[in-house]
Amino acid sequence: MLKLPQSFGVIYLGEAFCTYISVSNTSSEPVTNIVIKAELQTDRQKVTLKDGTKTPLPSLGPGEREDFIVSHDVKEVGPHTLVCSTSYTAPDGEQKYVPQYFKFASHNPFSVRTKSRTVAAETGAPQVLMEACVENATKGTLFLEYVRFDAGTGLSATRVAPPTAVGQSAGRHRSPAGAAVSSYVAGLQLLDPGGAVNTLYRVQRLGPGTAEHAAAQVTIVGGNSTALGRLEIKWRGMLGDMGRLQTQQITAPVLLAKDVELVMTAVEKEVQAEVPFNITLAVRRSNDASSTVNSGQYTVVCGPSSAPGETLAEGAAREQRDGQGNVVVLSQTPDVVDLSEAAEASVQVTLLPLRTGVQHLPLLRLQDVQRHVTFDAVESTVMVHPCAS
Amino acid sequence: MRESEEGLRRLALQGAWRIVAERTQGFQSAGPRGSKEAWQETAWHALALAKLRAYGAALEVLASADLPAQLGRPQESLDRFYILFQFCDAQRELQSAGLTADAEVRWRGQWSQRQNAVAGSLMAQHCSAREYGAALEWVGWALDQHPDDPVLQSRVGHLQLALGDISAASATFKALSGNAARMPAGLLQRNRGLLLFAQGDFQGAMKEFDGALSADSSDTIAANNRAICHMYACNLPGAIKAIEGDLRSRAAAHLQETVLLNLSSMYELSSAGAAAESKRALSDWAGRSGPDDLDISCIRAD
Repeated sequence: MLKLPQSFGVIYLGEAFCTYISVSNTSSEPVTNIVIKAELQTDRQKVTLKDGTKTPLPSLGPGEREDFIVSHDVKEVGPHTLVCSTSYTAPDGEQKYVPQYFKFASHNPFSVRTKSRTVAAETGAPQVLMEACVENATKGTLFLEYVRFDAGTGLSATRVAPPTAVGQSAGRHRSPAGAAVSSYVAGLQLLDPGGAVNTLYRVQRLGPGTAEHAAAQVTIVGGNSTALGRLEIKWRGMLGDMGRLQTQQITAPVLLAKDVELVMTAVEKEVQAEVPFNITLAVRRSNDASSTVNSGQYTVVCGPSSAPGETLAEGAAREQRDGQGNVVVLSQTPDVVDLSEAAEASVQVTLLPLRTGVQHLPLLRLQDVQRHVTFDAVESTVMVHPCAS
Repeated sequence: MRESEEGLRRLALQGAWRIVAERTQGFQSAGPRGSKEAWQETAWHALALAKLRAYGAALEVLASADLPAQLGRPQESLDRFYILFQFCDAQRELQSAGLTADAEVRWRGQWSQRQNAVAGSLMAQHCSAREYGAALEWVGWALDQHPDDPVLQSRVGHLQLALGDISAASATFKALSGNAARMPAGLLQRNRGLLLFAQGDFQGAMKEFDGALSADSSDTIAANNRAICHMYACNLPGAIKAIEGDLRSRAAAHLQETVLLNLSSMYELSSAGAAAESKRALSDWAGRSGPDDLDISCIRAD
């Protein structure tokens, strides 16, 4: 049985505030030229919900009424005042103005916490793992339609979903109807008061060659953070009343926004001792038009430090002499890549593992040829098995 | 003189709970070895006290599962109902030595019926607490026992609407429409009316509730919901007229707390000045015409 709300109740950010307004003439004489206005005021703004200034009612007789319903999406937390006012001409010709005020407060239905961790991927572009915890701060159960992460410009986001478990009601006979209801309930995302849902997203730069990548620039916020994107939450209340919220911009440290980056795109994880193997590196420049260092020639060097002009092979020999390398670099093809024409170039490095076990690859750094400035670095590990003889 | 079971039932149907309480107040509290008549009288007395909202006194007479919820202890009621459910399960499976095959079938049938009633109470308790997921699980259990019951299937749709899952409710009601012949009068139209209401089509919903009332003019749910549709369609006078008309024509059927609460809210909205007088008149009339267990405080006439 449907029941009318008994009070303004609690209104939540993202929901629609809907109200029935009734203006009636309770006097014993008619009034004329009636202008009805309804406004919603907060600390920051005043929104007009209805303005009858241009279309005043000619008259309202004794007992007559004018009813209307107004609706407004609540976009602010805190106190709200609904001001319903009527101005009219009384029978004696006097202009009268009658305002009425109705106060309520809107609350935040969710508490949202996020945590970002930048992960230097072994293959593919570096990525940020962003965990979001959305907690129900209301006093009722909320039916979550979705929690979605909309990645920022130049980025893509994919949800990392846990493996789904299929529940079974063991030990009792299930009719198709009963089993269908259980399956439906199991698929619902219901948040009890205080309950929370945790989601994990992988955020990375859009791949080169895509139309989005060509056009997009990753947004840098405040000089040392990347704008990852926003979380959008949509939920349903009783009889389908919809609520929708978007968070502020979620940021992460500026690992993603590099002028030029070095990415390991192909590496064998298990190799044999004393058998050469290859890794493939991609050298990519960003589309940031404000950067002056994107173009030019680059090379890959070995180790945490090197002499200016030292080649990859020379660096590898130095590392081995210093006793630092169980995996040594044999060669690099090509020696130098030029990014002035293309946004990306590929480099193949041939390595030789000398000892068995889990071994670190030498640190490979991307340097520009002219100024010997390091722009990026990659490192990885391989499992070296004994040579099959 | 002790009132007969039939007499008490007649008084209860008339809503004369004060008389039921008076006629059973001389009961001897039934102990574990109490006679069937003593237990019946105890139960009637507790029921009458509960109907008159003397929940504490009713609980002292009989340890009932639903009474703690009325006293502000809903978790205690839930716990008792779950224990009762398991008790019914155990009793149904109990092998009673010396019973004939027919008697055993009757025994199991009796305890299954009781268990179904407890499941219904669990559904209601979870609904009151807005735990619609749990309520749905109990509907699923009940459907395992009665998979073709259209009332239970409708319940699934109602709970889906309460959750806000309109598309799922629409699919549920659509699947049910093929079972119309087995449905109680008006249920199909009420389902369609609720769905249209949730979808914002208040005129369409009104027509469906009108259809339900044509099938059964004492359908309080359809009557109440039709009036709410009037209001949501911005016709407050029409809503008030609809409820007042229903109360005048079929008071015995429509005089319920939710209907009175809605009408009282409509009076308050229609006129701040005249509302007090209208509510006082409604309260006086409901107090005279309604059963003893009608809670007229919902009218807020003071």
